[in-house]
Amino acid sequence: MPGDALFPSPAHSPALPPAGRPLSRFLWLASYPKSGNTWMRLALDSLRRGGAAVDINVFGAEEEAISSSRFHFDLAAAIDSGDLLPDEILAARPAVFRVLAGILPDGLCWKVHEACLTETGAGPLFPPDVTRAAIHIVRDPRDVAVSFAAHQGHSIDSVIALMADPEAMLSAGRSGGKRQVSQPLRTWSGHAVSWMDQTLYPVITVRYEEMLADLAAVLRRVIPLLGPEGEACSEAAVAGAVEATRFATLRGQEVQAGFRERPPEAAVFFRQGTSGGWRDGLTARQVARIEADHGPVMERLGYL
Amino acid sequence: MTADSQNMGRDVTLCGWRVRSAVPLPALLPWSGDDRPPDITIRIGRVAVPEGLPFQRAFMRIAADGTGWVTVPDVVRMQIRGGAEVTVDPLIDVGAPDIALFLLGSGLGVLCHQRRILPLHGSCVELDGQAILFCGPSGQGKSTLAAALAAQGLRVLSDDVTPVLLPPDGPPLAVPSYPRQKLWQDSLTALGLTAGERVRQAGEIEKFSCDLAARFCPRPLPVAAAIHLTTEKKPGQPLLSPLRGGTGLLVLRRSVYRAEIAGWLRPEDGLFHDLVRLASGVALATLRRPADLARLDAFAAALPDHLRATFIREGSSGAG
Repeated sequence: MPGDALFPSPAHSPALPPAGRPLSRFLWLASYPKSGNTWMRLALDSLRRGGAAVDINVFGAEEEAISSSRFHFDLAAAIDSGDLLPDEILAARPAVFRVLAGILPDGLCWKVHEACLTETGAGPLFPPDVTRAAIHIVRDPRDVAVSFAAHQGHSIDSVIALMADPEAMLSAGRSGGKRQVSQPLRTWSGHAVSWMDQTLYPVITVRYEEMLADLAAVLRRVIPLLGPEGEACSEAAVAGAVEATRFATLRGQEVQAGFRERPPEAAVFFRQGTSGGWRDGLTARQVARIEADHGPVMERLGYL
Repeated sequence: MTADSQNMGRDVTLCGWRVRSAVPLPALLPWSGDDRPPDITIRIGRVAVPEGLPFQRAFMRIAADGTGWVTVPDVVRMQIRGGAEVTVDPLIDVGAPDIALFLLGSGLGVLCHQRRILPLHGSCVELDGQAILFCGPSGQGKSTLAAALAAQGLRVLSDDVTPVLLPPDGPPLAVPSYPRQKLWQDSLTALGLTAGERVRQAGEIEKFSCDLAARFCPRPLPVAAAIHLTTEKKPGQPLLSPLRGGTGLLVLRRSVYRAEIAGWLRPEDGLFHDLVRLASGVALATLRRPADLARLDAFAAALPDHLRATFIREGSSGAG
């Protein structure tokens, strides 16, 4: 079981790095839910291992690098997040990432669903001093609505309303928050713009539809953000990562072994892996509502 | 009359320690032990939190001499020294439940590690005179399961943090902490329990205290099993799976409350030694509880017999 790096003893890896050991700089893999984050994480994981096969269940363990993980929060806060108020958690999160940057490796890639908040009461949610860069994935919000509804076991209309709610939170309250602290999403548009327009660190925005069309090209675009590991990435590794993360392979693994990140409400996590499914999955009224809510940002991203 | 006997009526009991506290701790029972001087003294005073310490986490700091500070912005600052001296600087009403919450949470974790006692992050119930620990990270349902078992008639030693003593010539002992639980509203509803006050004065979290006095076991018991609590992912998985060897030890290591500070407050080999002794002295297992709270009552009704059959040997009862 990994984790001893997480429980440093003074002799080995102090919580604050000694002089000369700079804080790690993390990579934020940011997306609205159900937009290809897991796929990209798996592809990067394969890429970093020379294009090797992936196991979907290396993810979803308690110590997995998910920005909202209670495990990491409680460890770096040294307090029970379950006893804290939502505002106290939010204000502590930048400090928590700084503590983790003293413990965890440089270049670690975190799954992120939060909007890129520039103010938490204690500075930016994802502090620039512990950030290398962000990879931001977006997906047609009409497809997001269909996929998110299936994932959450909610009606499509309630998900469309959530996507238009500036106060939207993921894992808010007790039921969703057992393993994760609540994640401010903002609206779907607000989320996308918060990442695309932030100027705190380098960001590359990738469309899910581009990943479907040519994952190899997308990976070549993000490789420069991987630092020294990226420099070592060969063309063969890119091809291997594409092959290792084909939808049929990931879905096959879920059918065989299950997937730890699948919420109980969702029948399957790897559901369709396509774009344009909204044409069959949404009513004309639902399509019109999403386009009315998010028209300008959809246009900017080429979805309208 | 000595000062200690004068204070006899006001001192309280925490994890078997005599505690003299200027901070109201209504969850704790009055001290009813011997005439010893207080093990722990909690005073109210100004607390300055130093910068540049070797161990700094978002809410906790530890100095090179082992002094610890727990700070919750706009709520409380605490300094904890030598496992015995606590100074509380309340930033809200000192009687607010928030102060006691953090004192009996991370504050208790610091006290245990300073006293070189092994605190496990787990609830603990009595079964046939022995202690069964349910360990796991926050949110796994340790408190809820303890409450469900209490509703089945079992007595509870602890809700959240259970100190374990490792006497040189006997089995590991679970120490009762104090007779109060923290439960979320959904658990209270599912179990039909009445909520006490909110654990946070501001009330933005649906978490309440719940009195356990009627179902509290006030004396240490030999530990029969330390069980890692997890949630059933799909129906039909085995209820209990034994944890053996290195895996058991690693899971136990993960169950140490505030393990991240242990290395700063006691020698690492001391903690490891304690864990090996515990792992070799008790049964270790994983228990999968139902994800659906509606199934909890039936689960808790069946569990004692299952645990009895698995962990309690005939005639090995620590007490009648």
